[in-house]
Amino acid sequence: MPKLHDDPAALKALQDAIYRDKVLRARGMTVAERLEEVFTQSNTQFGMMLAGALDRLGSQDEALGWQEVRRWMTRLDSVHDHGRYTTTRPAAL
Amino acid sequence: MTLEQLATKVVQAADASGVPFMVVGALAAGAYGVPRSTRDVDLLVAVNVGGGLDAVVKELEPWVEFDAQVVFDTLTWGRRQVGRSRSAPPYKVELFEVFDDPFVQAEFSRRRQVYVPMLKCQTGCPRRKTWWCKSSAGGATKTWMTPATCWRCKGRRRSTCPTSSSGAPNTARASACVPRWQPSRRFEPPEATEKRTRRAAEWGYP
Repeated sequence: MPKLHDDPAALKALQDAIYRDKVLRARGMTVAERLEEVFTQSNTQFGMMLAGALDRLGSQDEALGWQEVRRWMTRLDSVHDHGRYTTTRPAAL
Repeated sequence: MTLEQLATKVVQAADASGVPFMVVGALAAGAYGVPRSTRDVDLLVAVNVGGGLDAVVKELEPWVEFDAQVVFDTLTWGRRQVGRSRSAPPYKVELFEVFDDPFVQAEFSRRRQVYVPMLKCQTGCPRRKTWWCKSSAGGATKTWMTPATCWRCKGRRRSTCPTSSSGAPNTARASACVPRWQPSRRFEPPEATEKRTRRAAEWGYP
């Protein structure tokens, strides 16, 4: 049986179909429902990050897990923000 | 503290400090587009009120730990204050000051109050982009104006405007009223524009 990821066109079609479903689903929701979805997705995402951190640390201590997540987030931020922000404004402005 | 609890605190703090504000970032995008997960609460804050950003920062002090150093966006030179929630999960709070860009100021002035049931409060939200019209199509004077002041549109919706670019019977005059660029697409690469246009045509988006 051919694998989907061996066929770029089929993979692209699948990606487009998934994105189309997301757009159509969002269009069927109210503003309040969409905002609720943002909160739900974000909380779930952080829950999964905590699970990942605990698994990596081999611990069940949530405080330790959140500390690890915080460390990841700080590192991501420093990479993301590099060159985009500065602490001094040009004198000409 | 969950994200909605943090968002409520941020909105309440901004309200309490009496600073005009609106939510931006993923929360605003979620309100009008496709919902996605986020790791921060972004707020655009007016600067014409005494204290401004600092007042909100002070109000949020018990829940959010802000960086001592304010940073500037190297593209817009807008002021940005970043904080992280003191409790887990480590959500971020980003406060931006409205800067002196005419479009940003117009966008901020268009904000409207939206009641969010999950937050149990009202919050300032960006209003959907309106289209802009040129005062003189093909003429020497081409200044942008809103349909409310355009003598051709007279405040009508774009789809029913006789001179709008969609549904216009006279294509020669269709370019008179065109939608203005959107802020989120300011730095969009050409290939992304092409992809978005193609997709919109395929799926029958307006």
